[in-house]
Amino acid sequence: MTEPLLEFRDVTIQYQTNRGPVTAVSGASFSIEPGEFSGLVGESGSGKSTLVKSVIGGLDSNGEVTAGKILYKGEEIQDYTEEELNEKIRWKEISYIPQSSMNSLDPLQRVSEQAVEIASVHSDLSKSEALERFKELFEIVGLSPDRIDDYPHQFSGGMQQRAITALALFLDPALIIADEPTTALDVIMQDQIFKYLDRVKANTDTSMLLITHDISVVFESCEQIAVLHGGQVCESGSVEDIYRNPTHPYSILLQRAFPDIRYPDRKLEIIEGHPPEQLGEVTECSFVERCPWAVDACYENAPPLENVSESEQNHQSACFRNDETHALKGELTELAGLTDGGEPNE
Amino acid sequence: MEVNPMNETPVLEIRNLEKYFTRKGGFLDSLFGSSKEPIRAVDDVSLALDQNEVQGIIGESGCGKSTLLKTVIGLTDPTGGDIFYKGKPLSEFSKRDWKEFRKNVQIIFQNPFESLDPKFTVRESLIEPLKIHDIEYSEERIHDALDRVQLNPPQKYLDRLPKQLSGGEKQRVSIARAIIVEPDVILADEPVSMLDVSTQAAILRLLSDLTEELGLSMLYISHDLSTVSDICDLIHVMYLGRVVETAPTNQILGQPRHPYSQALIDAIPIPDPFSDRPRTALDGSPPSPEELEAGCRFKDRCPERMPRCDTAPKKVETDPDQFTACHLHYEESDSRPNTEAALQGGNTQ
Ligand SMILES: Nc1ncnc2c1ncn2[C@@H]1O[C@H](COP(=O)(O)OP(=O)(O)OP(=O)(O)O)[C@@H](O)[C@H]1O
Ligand SMILES: Nc1ncnc2c1ncn2[C@@H]1O[C@H](COP(=O)(O)OP(=O)(O)OP(=O)(O)O)[C@@H](O)[C@H]1O
Ligand code: SF4
Ligand code: SF4
Ligand SMILES: [Mg+2]
Ligand SMILES: [Mg+2]
Repeated sequence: MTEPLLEFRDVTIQYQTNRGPVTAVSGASFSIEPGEFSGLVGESGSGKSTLVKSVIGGLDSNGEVTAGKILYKGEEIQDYTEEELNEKIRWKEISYIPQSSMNSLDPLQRVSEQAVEIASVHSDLSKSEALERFKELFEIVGLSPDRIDDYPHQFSGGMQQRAITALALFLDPALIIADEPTTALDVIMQDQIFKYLDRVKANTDTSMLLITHDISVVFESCEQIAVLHGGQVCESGSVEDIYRNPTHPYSILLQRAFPDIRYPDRKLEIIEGHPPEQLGEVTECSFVERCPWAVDACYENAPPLENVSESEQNHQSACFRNDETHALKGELTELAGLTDGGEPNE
Repeated sequence: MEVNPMNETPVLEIRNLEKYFTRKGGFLDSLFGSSKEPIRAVDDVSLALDQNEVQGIIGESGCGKSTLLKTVIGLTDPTGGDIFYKGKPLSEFSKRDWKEFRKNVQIIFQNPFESLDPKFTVRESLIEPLKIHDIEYSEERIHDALDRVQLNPPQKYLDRLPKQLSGGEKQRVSIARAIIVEPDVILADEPVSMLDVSTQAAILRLLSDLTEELGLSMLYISHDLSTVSDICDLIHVMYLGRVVETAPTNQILGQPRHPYSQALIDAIPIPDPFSDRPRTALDGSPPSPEELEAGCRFKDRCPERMPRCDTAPKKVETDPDQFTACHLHYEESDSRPNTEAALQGGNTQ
């Protein structure tokens, strides 16, 4: 196997608060392979942004990686200083599109000026080379190259999102991390952006880590997926495996909570309750309060991520009852279009 | 739309509603006497909402959905057309009518960050509408409202300020504020857009239950057809200020007749990695409402555009209860009676 591009190994991240340390991410492991598009999904507050901010040194000042390793191309980066991150990682290796990035363009600067500035800090490109390159990227993301000198407010929301995507691609990074890039947009605009991301995927070797709470978007646009609940990675694997054979109870229920326009009469299921706020060390399954199949053991330890089956590569689930959930799933009512019992429907 | 029996007046009716924003030209414009075209944010929209009925208004960002709601509720005056509440036009409202209307027709605003006063605790936010409408305040009523929107236990939230709430929690407080005065119409502007799916489903079900239990009617606005199909009886698809298609929900989803309705459906992501849905065929965004040309407003982006699309299409009944404004669906010579369409706001220009 090739070396992963980015790997989280048992990463725990805590925020210091006046009520004590809040564990936003606990023991999270997953990796992204070169050239791959990977999705990170989970409810609001599940720790998605926290996890990805830790990669580029973007955690709030009260947040810290307290255990585990983050490896980029095999090198540990969780303790990098600002200088090291600027010199070795940001923009040219990993570019980051923050959540609510519509506000992340500087309103007082022309978009092209922002590109030139990034180029001067993080690359050897001359100003004219930088502008030339930026125009090409505008073309790729579907914006007219002669609008690079516009100010952000002259663009609509969807156009701003594309301009940011162009900036993210600008120095040809190995990895783009995009935090909810289309959540604020309407469905047509969202689909247009993904049309251009498909093009990026086809024409470059860039990998992407896409953060969203919309599992549909990940199923359509990514190869791999990791599902986060209450700071724990509960399941990860290829989108096909997780679709056909969801194993963790949260993934099973999540799949049944999603509207599918092909089945408008499907009654959507609701996952009652909320993910817990974890103060201090986490010593249980974070889904235990919401799980229909919880047993005593689930309160005593956090379940480890384990391979689901020999046939499915990299498909892992963190549940003490991994072996039983397919059978348990049978208790649920059948939903149009979803297979029952976990057998793939080819 | 079903034709109302004579004796049943819609709770809320809009006829040929227009909201144009006039733009003050710059100094040079006034110097040279050029007057700018108005922004036609809502242009000739008609609908009738019956008791207990939920209708959806769907369309892209900027198509005029929020403006329509704000005009209906009287936050801004229409520049044309009429709004009727229980048969009486707003233009003839007395002070007392307005007071009743303001209590009975509640709006849930799109952006909970703007609609909640940052200095008010949740309790204060909920007491405010009661005070305004002279409704007796009781702790029980407040708990009940929070309970209904599943902010449980209420004590946990009562003393929090908006900045101590997540986006989804704020949105639920906005809903609680709307239902606490027991209105008979709710105008909901993208009330679940900030929530994740399981919470979305819960709120949609809640709104749907409320309409049943309390006999409420609702106009529900969204840009996403997949979330609304569950609760809406009838859907209006809006493009650049106009309703281009109206039909019962299942018909819109199953047999959209307007190319724009089709595009909206085609852009919805499908939670299935094997689905192979093609990406949207639409490019660009709608033209700015300041620069509208004559004819069908969708023509710049329409894959089916024909020469005759340079004249505005009229609205015809393409299927039972389904009204579509598109040249694909009638011949130039077609002289089909169009009375039903007129009710739908389907005249030509
Ligand atoms: N600076 C901070 N101090 C204390 N707690 C924090 C801080 N930042 C985030 N948290 C908490 O950490 C948890 C994870 O937050 P995070 O922003 O990573 O979630 P998310 O999955 O990105 O959610 P969303 O979908 O709403 O963006 C939440 O409970 C949040 O309240
Ligand atoms: N006060 C105003 N003055 C001038 N133009 C306005 C005003 N309010 C809205 N508009 C314009 O009217 C059009 C419709 O805006 P509106 O907010 O109703 O759209 P929307 O459908 O609610 O969009 P979104 O989905 O983004 O909320 C837009 O072009 C907008 O710029
Ligand atoms: S470990 Fe226990 S509580 Fe957690 S998902 Fe599995 S069965 Fe449910
Ligand atoms: S009238 Fe013409 S341009 Fe407009 S939607 Fe129909 S086919 Fe397309
Ligand atoms: Mg986040
Ligand atoms: Mg709006």
